[in-house]
Amino acid sequence: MPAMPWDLQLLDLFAALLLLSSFAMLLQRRTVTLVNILAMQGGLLCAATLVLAWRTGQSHLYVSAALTLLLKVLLLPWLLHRLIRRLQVYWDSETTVNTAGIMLIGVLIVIFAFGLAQPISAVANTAMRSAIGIAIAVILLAFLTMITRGKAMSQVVGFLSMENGLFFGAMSASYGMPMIVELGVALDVLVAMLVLGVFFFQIRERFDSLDLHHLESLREDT
Amino acid sequence: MIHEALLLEYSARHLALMEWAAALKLLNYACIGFALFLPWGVATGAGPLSLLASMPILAAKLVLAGAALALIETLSAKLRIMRAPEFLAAAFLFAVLGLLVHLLLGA
Repeated sequence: MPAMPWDLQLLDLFAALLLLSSFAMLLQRRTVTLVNILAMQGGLLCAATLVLAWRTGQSHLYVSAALTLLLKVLLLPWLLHRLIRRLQVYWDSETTVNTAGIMLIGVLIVIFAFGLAQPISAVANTAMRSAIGIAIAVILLAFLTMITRGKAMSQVVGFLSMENGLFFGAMSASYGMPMIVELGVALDVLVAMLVLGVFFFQIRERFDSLDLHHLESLREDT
Repeated sequence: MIHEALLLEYSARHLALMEWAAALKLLNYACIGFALFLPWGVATGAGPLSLLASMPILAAKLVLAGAALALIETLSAKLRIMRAPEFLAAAFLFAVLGLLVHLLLGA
């Protein structure tokens, strides 16, 4: 088998690390570490975008790499850390049950996603078409993270990780979205983050905790 | 690494034998790890010269691995015995993911 060019190898490495960081997020208990993993995932995404931009010479990918760096590596984790400090949930941790079971479900999801991506990558003609499966797996694993978590903060991190996966999928399937869509999504995520921050304070005021299981007991006043 | 209470019953030469066995085991695992993941500088032939040349490289790798191991052991307090299955499950996860990614990316 002939050796691949080193930049493609680097892209594959980043894709695999992205998948691994998704699993780390799925199994991490502490909220602060979860935010740090999210920042790391953003960093990986930014690095992958840079290498892809260098490889294909598409200049708009540099812009989206800069946008990723600014928004997902610096701004959002900073906002989340600030929220964690303000809400005083620094030592908060999740009581996940049956970690091994969740892990196995995660592996099944990865197999499913890879199978799902096979026909898509067969018709794509980009430099990293084989990474589409990893993007789908990251999205589905973020879903699983949101499903298995009870705390509001972890759910938001799962949501942002899903956005990372979508971005990576767009990048590997068609060298990124049009600039205007990318800017719109970035703004949406930022606004969603701010609104959710307000929600955190409201939820905590109402229930004295950020555990979303309390929401199940809400009833309409009759 | 998980706990060392089993060694508390031994002393003198028996303890030395136990420690020796543990050291040998660590050396073996480290060398297997090097051969799998960091194969640079491994002797490619059976000649005495290439074996001699690979010795200092192996020693350097062992020194680095020892430093890394010390760092990990210092940073993480001892692993709870109840968490050990999780640890093994993570190892299994890495193996399966490695296989799947290899199939997908063909790298």
